[in-house]
Amino acid sequence: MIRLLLFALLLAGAALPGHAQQPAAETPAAHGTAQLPDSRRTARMPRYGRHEFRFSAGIAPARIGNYWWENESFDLSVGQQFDRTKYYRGDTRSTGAYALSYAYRFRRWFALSVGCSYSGERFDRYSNLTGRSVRRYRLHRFSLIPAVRFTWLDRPWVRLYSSAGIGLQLIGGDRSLWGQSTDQAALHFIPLGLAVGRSLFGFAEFGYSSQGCIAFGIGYSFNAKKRGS
Amino acid sequence: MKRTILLPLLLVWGLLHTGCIVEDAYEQFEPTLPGYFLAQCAAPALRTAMDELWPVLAFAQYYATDDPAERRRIHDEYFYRSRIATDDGAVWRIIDCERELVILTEGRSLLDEGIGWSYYYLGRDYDERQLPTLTHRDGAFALDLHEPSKRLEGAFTLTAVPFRNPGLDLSGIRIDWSGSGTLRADDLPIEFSAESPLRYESTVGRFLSGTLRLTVRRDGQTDTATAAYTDDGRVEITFNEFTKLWNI
Repeated sequence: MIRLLLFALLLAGAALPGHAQQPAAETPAAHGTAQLPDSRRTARMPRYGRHEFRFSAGIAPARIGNYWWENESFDLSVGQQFDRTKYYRGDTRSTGAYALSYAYRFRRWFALSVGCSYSGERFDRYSNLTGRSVRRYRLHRFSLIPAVRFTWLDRPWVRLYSSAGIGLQLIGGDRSLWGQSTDQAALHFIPLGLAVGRSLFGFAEFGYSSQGCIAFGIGYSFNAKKRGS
Repeated sequence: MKRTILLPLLLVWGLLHTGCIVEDAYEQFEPTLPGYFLAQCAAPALRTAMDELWPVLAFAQYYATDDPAERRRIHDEYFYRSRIATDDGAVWRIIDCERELVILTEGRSLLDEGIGWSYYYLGRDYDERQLPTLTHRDGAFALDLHEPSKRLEGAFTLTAVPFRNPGLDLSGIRIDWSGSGTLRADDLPIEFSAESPLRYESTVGRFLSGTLRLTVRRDGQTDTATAAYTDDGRVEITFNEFTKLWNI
């Protein structure tokens, strides 16, 4: 809950200064496009720039298959089970998922993106004799996901969109101790995404993704400078 | 502009250093757990040994009397669902629906001083050279126990008293035993000994009192636990200076 509140604050903090930076009048020149008549072509152009970078933080990153687990007493001999009674496992903690992505917006309604994300988990093993931690186990997940995004509501300040993609998730750390010991596919399915702001904007996404099933972040849209300008 | 960038960065930095709990721990600090584990390994094997011993002690009363009425009474009290048979008077069989007990009496009463009986249950993998042997000595019984597959071996001294459980309206045998031995649970040999005599009652099929010491030696380390039985079916485990009452 605290993390969600912090990112709601992030969303508000990013959107307000972004508004102050934009010129009051919207002209095609302000978006770096050529002086064109008001035509279908202008209407199809991305409102605030073709290139877009985003950074987000999310909770509950999605995984394919079962959740991580430590090999318990399933395959242990009686002697190993006895050894196991001398330790106990603490809470499993997650960093959440942090993602950096780039998107190229072909049209106002269509964009292709690629994102990389990180999420980590850890738990401590404690001694049943002393109650102290004797070892910390960590798992790291790195995902690379290409995705498509469809914007179905595009207003000057608010955009609603959906995106989907599938990529690769690499797993590192104490792999043998966790149920997920092999690299696997990374999923990204966002039925509802909300962006608020102009060139600099905040956004929130809700869905099923290795980048977090609920994610908040900031983004920046721009056009590349033309040569000679 | 700087504030626009710094604020989100600060928030992200803070979030990176927080770790929300994804899965609550399902285990907790339990210092007597290793001792409880040892007791769970040892208790069933010792209980089974007593379950299989008490019919031999009850049969000793049957064998010691020649009075048909007394034999009928003893049969009805202890072997109501069983059939007692013999071909030659030396080898006796007690047969019921679940198992068949064979007692090698050599034609002599166990209640006579110095006499020993061997016994075994059909269908189990005993070492024929080392059957469990019960010997009457100095007013008590000495049990040289060798369970099938050498899972449980030990030497015990025990006394046996017939009694009647008024609550269950059953007749049974009460055994007080002391001694020591070794239990092999898979790859874990557990040495056990009675710190104080353990009392077993056949009508309830469990230990009601007494203290068992359990020792394992593994990877150069020796661990010892004590298990003190209570009459309500629980056991007090002491391990590594911690004590806790467990159900067993």
